[in-house]
Amino acid sequence: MSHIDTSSSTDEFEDARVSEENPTDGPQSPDDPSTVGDPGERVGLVRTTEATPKQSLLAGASMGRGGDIGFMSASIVSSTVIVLVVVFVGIFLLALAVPSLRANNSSFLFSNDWNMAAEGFGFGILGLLWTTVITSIIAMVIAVPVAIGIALLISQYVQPRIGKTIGFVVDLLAAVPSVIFGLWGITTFAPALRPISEFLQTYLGWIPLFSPNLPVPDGSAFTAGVVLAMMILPIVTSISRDVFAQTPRDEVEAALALGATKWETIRLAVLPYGRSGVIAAAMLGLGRALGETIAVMIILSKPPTAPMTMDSLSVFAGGETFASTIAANAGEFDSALKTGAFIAAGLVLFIVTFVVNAAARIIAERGKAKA
Amino acid sequence: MSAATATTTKTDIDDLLLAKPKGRRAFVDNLMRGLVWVAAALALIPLVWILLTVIIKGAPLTVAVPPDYTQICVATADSTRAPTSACGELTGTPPDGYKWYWVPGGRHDAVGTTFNPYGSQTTFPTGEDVRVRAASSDGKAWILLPSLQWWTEPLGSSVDFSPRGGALQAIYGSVVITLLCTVVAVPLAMLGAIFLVEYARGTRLGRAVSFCVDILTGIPSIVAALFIYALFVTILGGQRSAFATAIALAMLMLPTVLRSTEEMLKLVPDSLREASYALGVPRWKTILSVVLPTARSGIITGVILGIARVMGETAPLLILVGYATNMYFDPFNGSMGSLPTMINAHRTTATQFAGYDRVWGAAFTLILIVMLLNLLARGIARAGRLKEK
Amino acid sequence: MLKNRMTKLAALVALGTLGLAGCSAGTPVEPGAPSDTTPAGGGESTAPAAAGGLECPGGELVGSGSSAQKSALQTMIKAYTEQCGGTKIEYASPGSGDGIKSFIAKQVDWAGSDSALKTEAKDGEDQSEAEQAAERCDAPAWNLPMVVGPVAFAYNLEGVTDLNLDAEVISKIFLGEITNWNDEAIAALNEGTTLPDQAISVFFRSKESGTTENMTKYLQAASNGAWTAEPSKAWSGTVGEGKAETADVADAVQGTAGGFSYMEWGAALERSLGVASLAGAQLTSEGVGLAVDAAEIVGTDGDLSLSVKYDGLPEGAYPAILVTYEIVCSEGLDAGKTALLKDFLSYFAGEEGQGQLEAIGYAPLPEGMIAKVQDSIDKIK
Repeated sequence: MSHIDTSSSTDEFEDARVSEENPTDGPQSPDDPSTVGDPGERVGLVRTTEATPKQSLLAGASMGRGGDIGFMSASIVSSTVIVLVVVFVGIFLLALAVPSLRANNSSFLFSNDWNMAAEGFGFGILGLLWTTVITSIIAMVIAVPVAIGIALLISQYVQPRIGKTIGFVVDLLAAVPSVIFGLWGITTFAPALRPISEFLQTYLGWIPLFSPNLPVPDGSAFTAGVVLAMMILPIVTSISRDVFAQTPRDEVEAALALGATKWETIRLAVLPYGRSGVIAAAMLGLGRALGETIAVMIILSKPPTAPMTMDSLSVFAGGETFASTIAANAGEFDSALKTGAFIAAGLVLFIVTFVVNAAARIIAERGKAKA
Repeated sequence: MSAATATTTKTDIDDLLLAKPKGRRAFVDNLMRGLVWVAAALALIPLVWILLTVIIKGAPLTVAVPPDYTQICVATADSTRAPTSACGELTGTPPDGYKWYWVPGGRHDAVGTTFNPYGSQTTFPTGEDVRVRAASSDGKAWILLPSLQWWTEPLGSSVDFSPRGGALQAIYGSVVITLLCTVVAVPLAMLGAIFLVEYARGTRLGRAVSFCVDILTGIPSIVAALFIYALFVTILGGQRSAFATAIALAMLMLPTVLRSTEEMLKLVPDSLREASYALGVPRWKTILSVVLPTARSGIITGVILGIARVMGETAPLLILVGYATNMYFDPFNGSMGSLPTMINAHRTTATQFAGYDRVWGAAFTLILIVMLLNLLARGIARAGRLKEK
Repeated sequence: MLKNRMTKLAALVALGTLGLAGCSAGTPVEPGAPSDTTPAGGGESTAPAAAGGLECPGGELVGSGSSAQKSALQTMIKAYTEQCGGTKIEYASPGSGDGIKSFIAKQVDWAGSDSALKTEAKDGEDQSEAEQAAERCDAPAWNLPMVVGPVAFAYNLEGVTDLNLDAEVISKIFLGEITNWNDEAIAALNEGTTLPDQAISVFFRSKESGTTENMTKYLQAASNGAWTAEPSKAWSGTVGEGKAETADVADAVQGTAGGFSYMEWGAALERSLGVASLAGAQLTSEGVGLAVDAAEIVGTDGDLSLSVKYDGLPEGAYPAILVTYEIVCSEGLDAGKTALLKDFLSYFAGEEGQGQLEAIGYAPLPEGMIAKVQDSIDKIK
């Protein structure tokens, strides 16, 4: 994926950034500001982040040409469509889930039963919630630092050409379908991960979180979490890389002028500037990890009593996540109550993902305001 | 962030490093450099591993096809494979203690390994146009004959044992479904982003729509599929179709494209817009000819990201369009094949049979298509930039 | 310049791939005179005159359902299409329940299922599967048995090539009462074999499956009360690790020392897994045939639902079998599809069709059953 490229406008704004396409070419045209190197020339073009240009923009709209009205209506219509879709999906989910929730004899949020028969109908999502959360946390704990590391490597520590190759390889991974991750994960990767799992179980097994559970740890939440980390890595890396490369030169120069080392420069200029972007990237990755269906379905071993047992809070136990249980059972929705139970689980996933996304936006916005 | 300030890369920082500090700070600097390298290397190992697996297992099938049967010699005493020469004449009767077997597909194990006769034939395979090759290597090998059947033939009625049949119906289906999805999602997303940035920035209405987009981002693919199934099939009484799938996938693609377009549009400086208005250009024309082209390459990136995600989705396809092995051309009615469902359908084949290899071939094809789209998009972006110069 | 680099890169990748994949070209073998005079094992007939029985009306058909009969259906469709060009028949295998649901919703023309349509309504529903299907067809839906698949109990034990179990012991294993291979209950059935000290790792189908349902029917009938749970598509044992598909379960057994599970015979054969004999009866097609012979038809008119006997079978009969049905509308499909369906099913039930099943891990229907199935097919309008 190419950099967020803002230099594609008019010549005036062309900058001397070593571009992806021509890594060894210097400034392209005589008007290129980098050869002039006079910061004063750019002052007038700097946009304030807090601009509220509403008045000036709306002034243009009041010219009232037909094209304006048409265009504005088109964009309003599409926004309306988006809102309507969301509303209808919400109605759909609630309409299916509410009857089952009303008929539920067990605690929905705090129990782990799953009895789909008409008498004694009761379901609780505690186990599903646990497995979903633990696999996503493992994925994030592994993927986010590593992604930041790779992004820093690509943008700061290696030659642009090598960086571009690494970036290309990472982007290619985003195109690998999730079924393949599941298949490769369970047949090739899980056996390779066994020594690490066994090591952790031996030395950290006294902590309940790492206690041994399955006879062979191939189908554990740990394996699923590691494979999920690999799946979300490209997204987080790609966006972080773009964000780091966009750090304004002024900030970097300021740090260096203070005599900072490379790492200190990164710590003082690059990372704070990129903070909200990296958080947004991490949230996109988390969204994917929470909703991942097929790969998790193939890797995770389901415990014998549906959907999972909570006698062991270990990452080396199996389980089912919201998405994987809905996908595995979608073909067997033969009664309205049963369908509603699974849809209610889907609703919880929906809400969890939304809350996380909204939180990320708020953090990102606050970060931007600070900058 | 100003478009005019340069962005930083390694060479910039290195050029501007003034003095080399000593002691603790230098230690920390080198430590972090080492950590970053180690983290990246560790992470890249499994990533490159899976990519290489897909390429090595999948690429050969896109340019070659295994023979229908591989003739191998088996020692009957302990049921292990013997060298081909031990059985004598290829079309003759083998000596005592040896037997010919014809294994479907092109894979065979090394001499000395136990032989599993499941699926194999004990007489010369009959049928017109049957291709038989005798194993010429004593080690484990995969016999391949050059062919483009992967791209030119649908899978048809081929069975998992048989290497005949290509992926045309899957490639066609994936392309058609993704195209339909893009045609539906991209205009909606771009108009929505334009609304959020150009018309409703900072307003309550804009925040409400943004809120809805956040909710849309959170819909898992399986839920979107069930919703569209309920809408199209249960309520409207239609049949499964590629079009229904495209709508469900558009629901998944829209947030990605919308958010990235929105970010790109926000990065376009207002001074550009103001300059355009000052020249008397109406609002809509400003958006179309000044703002959008400025953000073009970033928008294309967002679209490609969305397409890559949507092309690999399996669950909505299974629910809404099923899987087919023959060619079906109507996107508004009936099943269609597609690459992810092809992978899903054949992943349960045992690893020694041709069906299993198709899984990797399909995965490789997916990566190839996305990579080509990516290069194409970058090429368009670069051409656009050159044109402006 | 970029194009040049990409071409070079592409060429490099292609060569490297072919090399790394261990490719070879093999030696071409021309089909000369048949070298081996032993009769063809799988009943492969080369004479196109066999097509004389088929009408080949051509057209399109879509079916969906059981994954247990997937290989059988694939082979049938291929053989039929080779004889009758111009036909497009699809069969997907998301599972018996899914297939029946699609059939009821008019998404597919026939369903493949590991059990006949249920005649009792499920909890909370007012119509049974049979009634819903009858509504779809505007006429009764018939269950036609076509494929008999044995359920194999596969194990992974080093050094043990013959293992004998029975329903009671298996029930106890699945309920966690027997946890090690060298348990006395197992040893009692296997005199003469030393069983290793190895924990039993049970695997089961986590997706709802007809194979699970039939296997638990066998356990309930033959275990002398050791298995009390109602047979159902969902796993009702108390131990084990669930894997989504049969292939996943079989791979897990293959990859875990001490692994044990139930699966279609073909899946065990593909991976050379050890298969247990049940109360002395080895898993062979003859053994399965004996068990199928004992099944009774409980369907009426053209419906041929079978009631399988799992207990009290003759010596040598392999009791854990599952019969898969093709569920069709007795009338009501449009004319073109009906003709194709009848022709295809006739081939399936015919001698040539059934003869190809043995080589891939299924058992053919007994003669008497075939005749009745053919009668029902003829009655479809």
